[in-house]
Amino acid sequence: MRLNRLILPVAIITAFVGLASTAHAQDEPVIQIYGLVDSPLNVTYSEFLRLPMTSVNASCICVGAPPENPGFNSFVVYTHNWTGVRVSDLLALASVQEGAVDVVFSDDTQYSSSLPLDVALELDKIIAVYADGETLNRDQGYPFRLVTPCWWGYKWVKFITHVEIVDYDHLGFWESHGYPDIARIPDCDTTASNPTVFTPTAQSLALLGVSMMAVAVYLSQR
Amino acid sequence: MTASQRAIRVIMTLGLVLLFTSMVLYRPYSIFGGFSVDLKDVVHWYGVSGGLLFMLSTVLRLKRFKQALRERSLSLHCLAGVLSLIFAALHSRSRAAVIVPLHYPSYYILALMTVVVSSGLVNNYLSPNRRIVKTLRLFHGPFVAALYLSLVYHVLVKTALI
Repeated sequence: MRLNRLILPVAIITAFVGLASTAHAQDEPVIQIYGLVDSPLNVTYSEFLRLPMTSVNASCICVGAPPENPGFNSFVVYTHNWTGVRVSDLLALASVQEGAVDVVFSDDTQYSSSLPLDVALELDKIIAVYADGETLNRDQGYPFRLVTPCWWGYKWVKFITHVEIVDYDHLGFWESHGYPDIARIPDCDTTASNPTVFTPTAQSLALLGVSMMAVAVYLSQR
Repeated sequence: MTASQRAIRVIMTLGLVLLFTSMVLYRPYSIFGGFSVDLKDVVHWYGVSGGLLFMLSTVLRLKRFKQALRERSLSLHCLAGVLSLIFAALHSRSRAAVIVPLHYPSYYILALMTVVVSSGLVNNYLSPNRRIVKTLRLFHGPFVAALYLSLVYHVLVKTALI
Protein backbone atom coordinates (compact mmCIF):
# COMPACT_ATOMS: atom_id res chain seq x y z
CA MET A 1 0.00 0.00 0.00
CA ARG A 2 2.82 2.39 0.86
CA LEU A 3 4.22 2.04 -2.64
CA ASN A 4 0.84 2.93 -4.16
CA ARG A 5 0.82 6.19 -2.27
CA LEU A 6 4.19 7.05 -3.78
CA ILE A 7 2.97 6.97 -7.39
CA LEU A 8 1.26 10.38 -7.40
CA PRO A 9 4.00 12.40 -5.63
CA VAL A 10 6.77 10.75 -7.65
CA ALA A 11 4.86 11.45 -10.88
CA ILE A 12 4.31 15.11 -9.94
CA ILE A 13 7.97 15.64 -8.96
CA THR A 14 9.20 13.96 -12.16
CA ALA A 15 6.88 16.08 -14.30
CA PHE A 16 8.04 19.31 -12.62
CA VAL A 17 11.74 18.45 -12.89
CA GLY A 18 11.24 17.40 -16.51
CA LEU A 19 9.39 20.57 -17.43
CA ALA A 20 12.07 22.69 -15.77
CA SER A 21 14.89 20.88 -17.58
CA THR A 22 13.23 21.33 -20.96
CA ALA A 23 12.26 24.95 -20.36
CA HIS A 24 14.79 26.08 -22.95
CA ALA A 25 12.47 24.58 -25.57
CA GLN A 26 10.31 27.65 -24.99
CA ASP A 27 13.00 30.02 -26.34
CA GLU A 28 11.70 30.11 -29.85
CA PRO A 29 13.96 30.92 -32.76
CA VAL A 30 12.81 33.90 -34.80
CA ILE A 31 13.46 34.86 -38.41
CA GLN A 32 13.32 38.58 -39.25
CA ILE A 33 12.27 39.78 -42.70
CA TYR A 34 12.92 43.45 -43.36
CA GLY A 35 14.40 45.97 -45.78
CA LEU A 36 12.44 46.95 -48.88
CA VAL A 37 9.13 45.54 -47.67
CA ASP A 38 5.79 47.05 -46.72
CA SER A 39 5.37 44.83 -43.66
CA PRO A 40 8.56 43.81 -41.87
CA LEU A 41 8.00 40.49 -40.14
CA ASN A 42 9.31 38.63 -37.12
CA VAL A 43 8.24 35.05 -37.72
CA THR A 44 8.65 32.72 -34.75
CA TYR A 45 9.46 29.04 -35.22
CA SER A 46 5.92 27.91 -34.34
CA GLU A 47 4.38 30.54 -36.62
CA PHE A 48 6.73 29.40 -39.38
CA LEU A 49 5.61 25.78 -39.00
CA ARG A 50 2.00 26.80 -39.58
CA LEU A 51 2.77 28.26 -43.03
CA PRO A 52 2.16 26.13 -46.14
CA MET A 53 5.08 23.77 -46.68
CA THR A 54 6.82 22.46 -49.77
CA SER A 55 9.30 19.61 -50.15
CA VAL A 56 12.30 19.54 -52.42
CA ASN A 57 14.66 16.66 -53.13
CA ALA A 58 18.05 18.29 -53.46
CA SER A 59 21.76 17.86 -52.80
CA CYS A 60 23.86 20.52 -51.15
CA ILE A 61 27.03 20.52 -53.22
CA CYS A 62 30.20 22.23 -52.02
CA VAL A 63 31.74 24.27 -54.79
CA GLY A 64 35.33 23.31 -53.94
CA ALA A 65 38.31 25.49 -54.86
CA PRO A 66 39.73 27.58 -56.44
CA PRO A 67 37.06 30.28 -56.81
CA GLU A 68 38.11 30.92 -60.41
CA ASN A 69 37.13 27.38 -61.33
CA PRO A 70 33.87 26.61 -59.47
CA GLY A 71 33.03 22.93 -59.36
CA PHE A 72 36.58 21.77 -60.11
CA ASN A 73 36.71 19.52 -57.05
CA SER A 74 33.14 19.83 -55.84
CA PHE A 75 31.52 17.23 -53.58
CA VAL A 76 28.05 16.46 -52.25
CA VAL A 77 27.70 17.51 -48.60
CA TYR A 78 24.30 15.87 -48.13
CA THR A 79 21.21 14.91 -50.04
CA HIS A 80 17.83 15.14 -48.36
CA ASN A 81 14.17 15.68 -48.90
CA TRP A 82 14.00 19.20 -47.52
CA THR A 83 10.71 20.59 -46.26
CA GLY A 84 10.01 24.21 -45.53
CA VAL A 85 8.30 27.40 -46.62
CA ARG A 86 8.86 28.88 -50.04
CA VAL A 87 10.87 32.08 -49.97
CA SER A 88 8.26 33.50 -52.36
CA ASP A 89 5.48 32.87 -49.79
CA LEU A 90 7.44 34.62 -47.05
CA LEU A 91 8.21 37.56 -49.30
CA ALA A 92 4.54 37.75 -50.31
CA LEU A 93 3.61 38.03 -46.62
CA ALA A 94 6.06 40.89 -46.22
CA SER A 95 5.06 42.59 -49.54
CA VAL A 96 8.27 43.40 -51.37
CA GLN A 97 8.48 46.96 -52.64
CA GLU A 98 9.44 48.01 -56.14
CA GLY A 99 13.15 48.47 -56.74
CA ALA A 100 14.21 45.37 -54.81
CA VAL A 101 17.24 43.65 -56.37
CA ASP A 102 18.61 41.02 -53.99
CA VAL A 103 17.35 38.95 -51.08
CA VAL A 104 20.09 38.64 -48.46
CA PHE A 105 20.05 35.70 -46.05
CA SER A 106 22.28 35.91 -43.00
CA ASP A 107 22.92 34.29 -39.64
CA ASP A 108 24.04 35.78 -36.35
CA THR A 109 27.75 35.34 -37.15
CA GLN A 110 27.91 37.78 -40.08
CA TYR A 111 27.81 34.96 -42.65
CA SER A 112 25.56 35.94 -45.50
CA SER A 113 24.71 35.13 -49.06
CA SER A 114 22.13 36.46 -51.44
CA LEU A 115 19.91 35.52 -54.33
CA PRO A 116 18.60 37.84 -57.02
CA LEU A 117 14.92 38.57 -56.31
CA ASP A 118 13.66 36.71 -59.39
CA VAL A 119 15.67 33.61 -58.39
CA ALA A 120 14.49 33.79 -54.76
CA LEU A 121 10.90 33.80 -56.01
CA GLU A 122 11.37 30.49 -57.88
CA LEU A 123 9.14 27.78 -56.42
CA ASP A 124 11.96 25.41 -55.43
CA LYS A 125 13.73 27.97 -53.23
CA ILE A 126 12.66 27.27 -49.67
CA ILE A 127 13.64 28.04 -46.12
CA ALA A 128 13.75 24.53 -44.69
CA VAL A 129 12.96 23.34 -41.19
CA TYR A 130 12.89 19.60 -41.88
CA ALA A 131 15.25 17.17 -43.61
CA ASP A 132 13.73 13.80 -44.44
CA GLY A 133 10.80 14.57 -42.20
CA GLU A 134 12.92 15.27 -39.14
CA THR A 135 13.63 18.63 -37.58
CA LEU A 136 16.97 19.95 -38.82
CA ASN A 137 19.93 19.19 -36.59
CA ARG A 138 22.73 21.67 -35.90
CA ASP A 139 24.86 20.34 -38.73
CA GLN A 140 21.99 20.82 -41.13
CA GLY A 141 21.46 24.39 -39.93
CA TYR A 142 18.75 24.24 -37.26
CA PRO A 143 16.41 26.12 -36.99
CA PHE A 144 16.15 27.65 -40.48
CA ARG A 145 18.30 27.01 -43.52
CA LEU A 146 18.06 28.16 -47.10
CA VAL A 147 17.65 25.42 -49.70
CA THR A 148 18.58 26.55 -53.18
CA PRO A 149 18.61 23.45 -55.37
CA CYS A 150 21.09 23.53 -58.25
CA TRP A 151 23.03 26.41 -56.70
CA TRP A 152 26.42 25.87 -55.05
CA GLY A 153 26.51 25.08 -51.34
CA TYR A 154 27.68 28.51 -50.15
CA LYS A 155 24.26 29.84 -51.14
CA TRP A 156 22.58 27.37 -48.75
CA VAL A 157 22.79 29.67 -45.73
CA LYS A 158 22.41 27.84 -42.40
CA PHE A 159 21.07 29.17 -39.05
CA ILE A 160 19.17 31.98 -40.83
CA THR A 161 18.07 34.75 -38.52
CA HIS A 162 17.69 37.64 -40.97
CA VAL A 163 16.26 38.01 -44.46
CA GLU A 164 16.84 41.47 -45.88
CA ILE A 165 15.52 42.74 -49.19
CA VAL A 166 17.95 45.26 -50.67
CA ASP A 167 18.06 47.51 -53.73
CA TYR A 168 21.66 46.73 -54.70
CA ASP A 169 23.68 43.72 -55.82
CA HIS A 170 24.83 42.28 -52.50
CA LEU A 171 28.00 40.22 -52.25
CA GLY A 172 27.96 37.63 -49.50
CA PHE A 173 30.86 36.08 -47.56
CA TRP A 174 32.22 33.74 -50.24
CA GLU A 175 31.12 35.97 -53.10
CA SER A 176 33.33 38.75 -51.71
CA HIS A 177 36.21 36.19 -51.71
CA GLY A 178 35.92 35.67 -55.45
CA TYR A 179 33.24 33.02 -55.81
CA PRO A 180 30.53 33.80 -58.37
CA ASP A 181 27.42 35.65 -57.19
CA ILE A 182 25.29 33.77 -59.73
CA ALA A 183 26.19 30.31 -58.47
CA ARG A 184 23.98 28.12 -60.62
CA ILE A 185 25.30 24.55 -61.04
CA PRO A 186 25.44 23.53 -64.71
CA ASP A 187 23.34 20.56 -65.91
CA CYS A 188 21.39 20.28 -62.67
CA ASP A 189 17.72 19.43 -62.20
CA THR A 190 15.43 19.26 -59.18
CA THR A 191 11.84 18.49 -58.26
CA ALA A 192 9.47 20.18 -55.87
CA SER A 193 6.42 18.47 -54.42
CA ASN A 194 3.68 19.02 -51.93
CA PRO A 195 4.51 17.06 -48.80
CA THR A 196 3.05 16.35 -45.42
CA VAL A 197 -0.36 15.24 -46.49
CA PHE A 198 -1.95 11.93 -45.65
CA THR A 199 -2.01 9.96 -48.90
CA PRO A 200 -5.40 8.43 -49.89
CA THR A 201 -4.06 4.94 -49.08
CA ALA A 202 -2.89 6.04 -45.65
CA GLN A 203 -6.21 7.80 -45.07
CA SER A 204 -8.19 4.68 -46.00
CA LEU A 205 -6.05 2.48 -43.76
CA ALA A 206 -6.39 4.89 -40.85
CA LEU A 207 -10.16 5.05 -41.31
CA LEU A 208 -10.43 1.26 -41.53
CA GLY A 209 -8.21 0.89 -38.44
CA VAL A 210 -10.28 3.31 -36.37
CA SER A 211 -13.51 1.64 -37.56
CA MET A 212 -12.23 -1.77 -36.48
CA MET A 213 -11.28 -0.38 -33.09
CA ALA A 214 -14.76 1.10 -32.72
CA VAL A 215 -16.32 -2.26 -33.66
CA ALA A 216 -14.14 -4.01 -31.08
CA VAL A 217 -15.25 -1.57 -28.36
CA TYR A 218 -18.89 -2.00 -29.40
CA LEU A 219 -18.68 -5.79 -29.34
CA SER A 220 -16.99 -5.75 -25.96
CA GLN A 221 -19.98 -3.88 -24.49
CA ARG A 222 -22.62 -6.31 -25.76
CA MET B 1 -10.80 -15.88 -21.83
CA THR B 2 -13.74 -16.86 -24.03
CA ALA B 3 -13.57 -17.28 -27.82
CA SER B 4 -15.62 -14.12 -28.40
CA GLN B 5 -13.28 -12.10 -26.18
CA ARG B 6 -10.34 -13.43 -28.14
CA ALA B 7 -12.05 -12.43 -31.39
CA ILE B 8 -12.68 -8.91 -30.04
CA ARG B 9 -9.02 -8.62 -29.07
CA VAL B 10 -7.98 -9.72 -32.56
CA ILE B 11 -10.27 -7.10 -34.15
CA MET B 12 -8.83 -4.38 -31.88
CA THR B 13 -5.25 -5.49 -32.61
CA LEU B 14 -5.91 -5.48 -36.36
CA GLY B 15 -7.43 -2.01 -36.11
CA LEU B 16 -4.36 -0.73 -34.26
CA VAL B 17 -2.02 -2.39 -36.75
CA LEU B 18 -3.88 -0.76 -39.66
CA LEU B 19 -3.67 2.63 -37.96
CA PHE B 20 0.04 2.09 -37.40
CA THR B 21 0.52 1.04 -41.05
CA SER B 22 -1.15 4.25 -42.17
CA MET B 23 1.41 6.18 -40.10
CA VAL B 24 4.27 4.30 -41.75
CA LEU B 25 2.83 4.76 -45.23
CA TYR B 26 2.24 8.43 -44.52
CA ARG B 27 5.95 9.14 -44.27
CA PRO B 28 6.87 9.97 -47.84
CA TYR B 29 10.52 10.39 -47.03
CA SER B 30 13.63 8.30 -47.05
CA ILE B 31 14.97 8.24 -43.54
CA PHE B 32 18.48 8.90 -42.30
CA GLY B 33 18.06 8.63 -38.55
CA GLY B 34 18.37 11.52 -36.14
CA PHE B 35 19.35 9.79 -32.94
CA SER B 36 21.61 11.88 -30.78
CA VAL B 37 23.70 10.70 -27.84
CA ASP B 38 24.74 14.21 -26.87
CA LEU B 39 24.16 14.53 -23.12
CA LYS B 40 22.93 18.08 -23.68
CA ASP B 41 20.12 16.70 -25.76
CA VAL B 42 17.92 16.11 -22.71
CA VAL B 43 14.78 15.55 -24.74
CA HIS B 44 16.20 12.48 -26.49
CA TRP B 45 17.31 11.01 -23.18
CA TYR B 46 13.81 11.46 -21.81
CA GLY B 47 12.62 9.35 -24.74
CA VAL B 48 15.17 6.64 -24.04
CA SER B 49 14.30 6.65 -20.32
CA GLY B 50 10.57 6.49 -21.10
CA GLY B 51 11.10 3.49 -23.36
CA LEU B 52 13.25 1.68 -20.79
CA LEU B 53 10.77 2.37 -18.00
CA PHE B 54 7.97 1.03 -20.16
CA MET B 55 9.96 -2.14 -20.75
CA LEU B 56 10.65 -2.39 -17.01
CA SER B 57 6.95 -1.99 -16.40
CA THR B 58 6.26 -4.96 -18.69
CA VAL B 59 9.02 -7.09 -17.17
CA LEU B 60 7.58 -6.54 -13.70
CA ARG B 61 4.40 -8.32 -14.76
CA LEU B 62 6.23 -11.43 -15.90
CA LYS B 63 5.30 -14.49 -13.88
CA ARG B 64 8.69 -14.82 -12.22
CA PHE B 65 8.70 -11.23 -10.94
CA LYS B 66 5.04 -11.36 -10.00
CA GLN B 67 5.75 -14.28 -7.71
CA ALA B 68 8.89 -12.76 -6.24
CA LEU B 69 7.48 -9.30 -5.60
CA ARG B 70 3.85 -10.32 -4.91
CA GLU B 71 1.55 -7.30 -4.53
CA ARG B 72 4.49 -4.92 -4.91
CA SER B 73 4.83 -6.10 -8.51
CA LEU B 74 1.58 -4.38 -9.52
CA SER B 75 2.45 -1.12 -7.74
CA LEU B 76 5.92 -1.02 -9.30
CA HIS B 77 4.37 -1.89 -12.67
CA CYS B 78 2.03 1.11 -12.35
CA LEU B 79 4.77 3.44 -11.06
CA ALA B 80 7.08 2.55 -13.95
CA GLY B 81 4.18 2.95 -16.39
CA VAL B 82 3.22 6.41 -15.09
CA LEU B 83 6.86 7.57 -15.16
CA SER B 84 7.31 6.23 -18.70
CA LEU B 85 4.28 8.26 -19.83
CA ILE B 86 5.66 11.41 -18.20
CA PHE B 87 9.05 10.89 -19.88
CA ALA B 88 7.38 10.23 -23.23
CA ALA B 89 5.31 13.42 -22.89
CA LEU B 90 8.47 15.42 -22.11
CA HIS B 91 10.22 13.73 -25.04
CA SER B 92 7.54 14.85 -27.50
CA ARG B 93 6.87 18.18 -25.84
CA SER B 94 8.10 20.31 -28.73
CA ARG B 95 5.90 18.36 -31.15
CA ALA B 96 2.81 18.95 -29.06
CA ALA B 97 3.36 22.70 -29.24
CA VAL B 98 2.76 22.83 -32.99
CA ILE B 99 0.17 20.61 -34.63
CA VAL B 100 1.35 19.74 -38.14
CA PRO B 101 0.92 16.47 -40.06
CA LEU B 102 4.62 15.66 -39.72
CA HIS B 103 4.04 15.23 -36.00
CA TYR B 104 1.13 12.75 -36.30
CA PRO B 105 3.25 9.63 -35.61
CA SER B 106 4.44 11.22 -32.35
CA TYR B 107 0.86 11.96 -31.34
CA TYR B 108 -0.13 8.37 -32.18
CA ILE B 109 2.57 6.83 -29.98
CA LEU B 110 1.86 9.26 -27.14
CA ALA B 111 -1.89 8.59 -27.41
CA LEU B 112 -1.29 4.82 -27.28
CA MET B 113 0.91 5.23 -24.23
CA THR B 114 -1.69 7.44 -22.53
CA VAL B 115 -4.41 4.86 -23.18
CA VAL B 116 -2.22 2.00 -21.91
CA VAL B 117 -1.15 3.78 -18.72
CA SER B 118 -4.48 5.37 -17.90
CA SER B 119 -6.36 2.13 -18.57
CA GLY B 120 -3.99 0.36 -16.22
CA LEU B 121 -4.50 2.97 -13.52
CA VAL B 122 -8.27 3.05 -13.88
CA ASN B 123 -8.32 -0.73 -13.88
CA ASN B 124 -6.29 -1.03 -10.69
CA TYR B 125 -7.17 1.97 -8.57
CA LEU B 126 -10.15 3.97 -9.71
CA SER B 127 -12.93 2.05 -11.37
CA PRO B 128 -15.60 0.48 -9.21
CA ASN B 129 -17.49 -0.54 -12.35
CA ARG B 130 -16.88 -4.20 -13.24
CA ARG B 131 -17.87 -3.64 -16.86
CA ILE B 132 -15.25 -0.91 -17.33
CA VAL B 133 -12.60 -3.03 -15.62
CA LYS B 134 -13.47 -5.95 -17.90
CA THR B 135 -13.24 -3.79 -21.04
CA LEU B 136 -9.96 -2.21 -19.99
CA ARG B 137 -8.47 -5.62 -19.23
CA LEU B 138 -9.58 -6.85 -22.62
CA PHE B 139 -7.86 -4.02 -24.48
CA HIS B 140 -4.78 -3.43 -22.32
CA GLY B 141 -2.85 -6.22 -24.09
CA PRO B 142 -3.55 -5.17 -27.72
CA PHE B 143 -2.66 -1.56 -26.92
CA VAL B 144 0.60 -2.64 -25.28
CA ALA B 145 1.41 -4.79 -28.35
CA ALA B 146 0.65 -1.88 -30.71
CA LEU B 147 2.76 0.42 -28.58
CA TYR B 148 5.75 -1.94 -28.71
CA LEU B 149 5.35 -2.25 -32.48
CA SER B 150 5.39 1.56 -32.81
CA LEU B 151 8.30 1.94 -30.40
CA VAL B 152 10.40 -0.61 -32.27
CA TYR B 153 9.64 1.20 -35.53
CA HIS B 154 10.51 4.55 -33.93
CA VAL B 155 13.84 3.22 -32.63
CA LEU B 156 14.71 1.59 -35.98
CA VAL B 157 13.96 4.87 -37.76
CA LYS B 158 15.96 6.96 -35.32
CA THR B 159 18.96 4.67 -35.47
CA ALA B 160 18.76 4.68 -39.29
CA LEU B 161 18.34 0.91 -39.49
CA ILE B 162 15.33 1.34 -41.80
